[in-house]
Amino acid sequence: MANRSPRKKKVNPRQVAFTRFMFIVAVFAVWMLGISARLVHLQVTQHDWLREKAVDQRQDVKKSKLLRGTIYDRDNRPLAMSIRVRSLYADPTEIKDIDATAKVLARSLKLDAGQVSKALNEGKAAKKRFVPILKKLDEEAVQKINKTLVADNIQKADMPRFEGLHYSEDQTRSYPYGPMAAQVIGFSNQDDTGMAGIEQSQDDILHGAVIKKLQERDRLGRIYDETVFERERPGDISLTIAASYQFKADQALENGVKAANAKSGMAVVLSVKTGEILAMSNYPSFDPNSIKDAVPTSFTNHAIQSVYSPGSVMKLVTYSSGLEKNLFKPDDQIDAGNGTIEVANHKFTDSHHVGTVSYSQALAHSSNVCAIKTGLRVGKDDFYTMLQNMGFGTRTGVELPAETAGILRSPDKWNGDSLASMSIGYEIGVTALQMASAFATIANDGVKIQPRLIKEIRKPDQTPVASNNSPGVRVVSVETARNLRTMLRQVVLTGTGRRARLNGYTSAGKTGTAWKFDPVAKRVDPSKYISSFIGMAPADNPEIVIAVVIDEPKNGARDGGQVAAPVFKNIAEQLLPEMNVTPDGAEIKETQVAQEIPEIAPSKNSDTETTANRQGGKTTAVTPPKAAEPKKPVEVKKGSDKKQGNGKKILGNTTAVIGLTRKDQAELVES
Amino acid sequence: MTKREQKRRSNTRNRNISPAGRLQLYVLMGIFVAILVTGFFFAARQHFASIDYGIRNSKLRKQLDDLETEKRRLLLAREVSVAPSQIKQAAKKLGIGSQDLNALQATSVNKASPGTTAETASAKGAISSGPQVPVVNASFAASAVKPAKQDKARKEEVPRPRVVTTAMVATR
Repeated sequence: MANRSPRKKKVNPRQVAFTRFMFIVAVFAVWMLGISARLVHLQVTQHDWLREKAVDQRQDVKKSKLLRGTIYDRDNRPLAMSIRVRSLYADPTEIKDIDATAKVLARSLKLDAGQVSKALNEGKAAKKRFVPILKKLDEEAVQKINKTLVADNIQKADMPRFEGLHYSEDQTRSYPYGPMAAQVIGFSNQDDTGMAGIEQSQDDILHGAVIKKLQERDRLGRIYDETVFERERPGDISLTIAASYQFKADQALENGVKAANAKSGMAVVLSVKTGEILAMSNYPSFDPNSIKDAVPTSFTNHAIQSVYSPGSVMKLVTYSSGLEKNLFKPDDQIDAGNGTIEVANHKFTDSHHVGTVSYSQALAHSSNVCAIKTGLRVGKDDFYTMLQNMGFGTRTGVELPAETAGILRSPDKWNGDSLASMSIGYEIGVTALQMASAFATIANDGVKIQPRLIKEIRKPDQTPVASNNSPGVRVVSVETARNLRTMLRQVVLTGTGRRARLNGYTSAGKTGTAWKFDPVAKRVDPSKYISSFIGMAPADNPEIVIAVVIDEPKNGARDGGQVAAPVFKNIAEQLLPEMNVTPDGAEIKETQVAQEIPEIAPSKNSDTETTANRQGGKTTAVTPPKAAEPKKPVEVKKGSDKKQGNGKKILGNTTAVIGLTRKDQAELVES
Repeated sequence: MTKREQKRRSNTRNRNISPAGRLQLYVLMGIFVAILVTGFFFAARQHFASIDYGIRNSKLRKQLDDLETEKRRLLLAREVSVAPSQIKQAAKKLGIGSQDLNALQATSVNKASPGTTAETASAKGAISSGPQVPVVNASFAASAVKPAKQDKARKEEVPRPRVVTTAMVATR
């Protein structure tokens, strides 16, 4: 047994190799199994989270607004345009040390550190990724910030190279001409929504849509692929107003208002042939570039939003009705009697006795009696129809928001003396644009053309669409229109509108003066006037109509001929040569207009205050007020249009309702 | 050698291959590997080139946007500078009277029709008769009547607005 050598186990090398191989395979299998399990875990249970993270790392969705459309004048000068600016914002989720960052930001950008820190901390707690720091920065400010906010240890593709800070695209609206035509152009708010004027009425065209940009970024944040989801680009609008004309009208109006120490003023320049509004001025105005500093009351476009009693300028309609009915010729004689006429127990008087004169002279001297006689001959229905045809009581349709239709009651609501009152421009509320349109109708040989403010609308990739030029409606015959122009010419040559005589051009027009209605006291205040002059030039073949209305003139003579006519002259003398209108008149010297005929010289026997008190109710400017000492306010009592006291019927709603709300106006009409 | 042994040996993989055949095999393998590597190389190159182009494209697009913005800003600046109120202010600083101003405005404001010859002449006359002062270089009418010797003074009084070129910033 001892000799027996231990029996060696025979090792099969193949078996060993196989075993080792299988071991390695097993290890690999386990490894692969582990990886597979992990993959399944990641791709099944954590799929959404991982995908979101991957997309978040790589893709970036940027939203930005297309630039708001531009508003041009008729010569393609931008009146309102948007430019790209940037806003600085912080992504608090990217910032590690909020307080330190807030301190740096506050120091660099001159902000309150506490507020910045609070905003960032709140943002981080709410997992907000957008906390605005500075808004609407121009390029210069951006460059300054980029230089100031630089952290060396930050690797970012975009500026500023500072942890968690980014820029977002934004836009700001600029009005290069500032207050010029501010009420017409309007303004838009921070959200780029039009709030007034053309900005508001044409917001659908001007408004820039929000576009999305899908950006793919590499690890350094550089964009290597970008998909833009395009939207329709906003259109541009070209207006009929010209910056040059507008500026001159603005200046003339401002000078006129200041000279008269008036509360406000408005002027409209209308192209006779096309109905285009060449200028629409309001004073005082505001600068749409700094809305915060503006007085809200100056936002109102009085030329279309405020109603006033036109006074004697309405005699145009009265005489046009008479001429259209062939009741008289301009040279026919009319007797103003003793300068007094009584209608429905109400006495109307002339400011000065004119006696027997031609109709032309009656209009030139603004005789109330003659106008009332003419109105009474025309009759209620025909006069009302003429008023309607001239466009009173309805909106002109100009492309501006909040236009008022004015006040025109139907004949069944008229009082016994309403026709007489309306013949001289009371018991009716009009806008300056309505009046200008009526005069433009006469200037255009009796064809009424709708006033318009938009010349054309330009949309990208489309041919410009011209604003509809309405064909025009004939209101009076050519002969009537010409006769009226001849009569209006006399107003400027020999009548109340002498200050509207132009140097080198002929002109025609009519003055008007009316008392204002005090909405607080609910009564007519004879110390406050609305003075106006509406005229056209050249007289024979008019190119433009200019309406000037001055609210509450206080200095010197306050009638339309003294206050508003010089503004008309100032505007017309500047615009006509610029429009290349051939001069058709003689040069005049200043001394030639020195002799004035006051439109509203006082009548000795017409004390309105006394009349009103005697009648115990509402009153009106029966005789247009004297441009002298202010009188005491005349009280207007509700329901006082009946016969009272001595049985005389008083005049109703004769108001200059500038400043009235619509409710007030409605109340006024109803009363 | 038994038959069985012979059969086993013939099935083995270590058969004797001729050197020519082996070379052929290596060449083929080399070619396939080269094709594969070249394919990967070109694919990678194209991938990185496309990313590079994408980045450049995006930069160009940004540059285009910036230039467009710059253009609008310059247009706006020009309009602001030729606005009548601005001209009036600048002229007042330079001592031009209101009558001269009116004459200037008559010729300068209307871009489409700069007025009649008579107007221009009257404007020139008004200025030549007035004090010899420089006028703002913001309107074409002003340049027509600009006194030649006072440019330096004008530049000192009316600084030109600085224009930041965003295109240069973007390519930096």
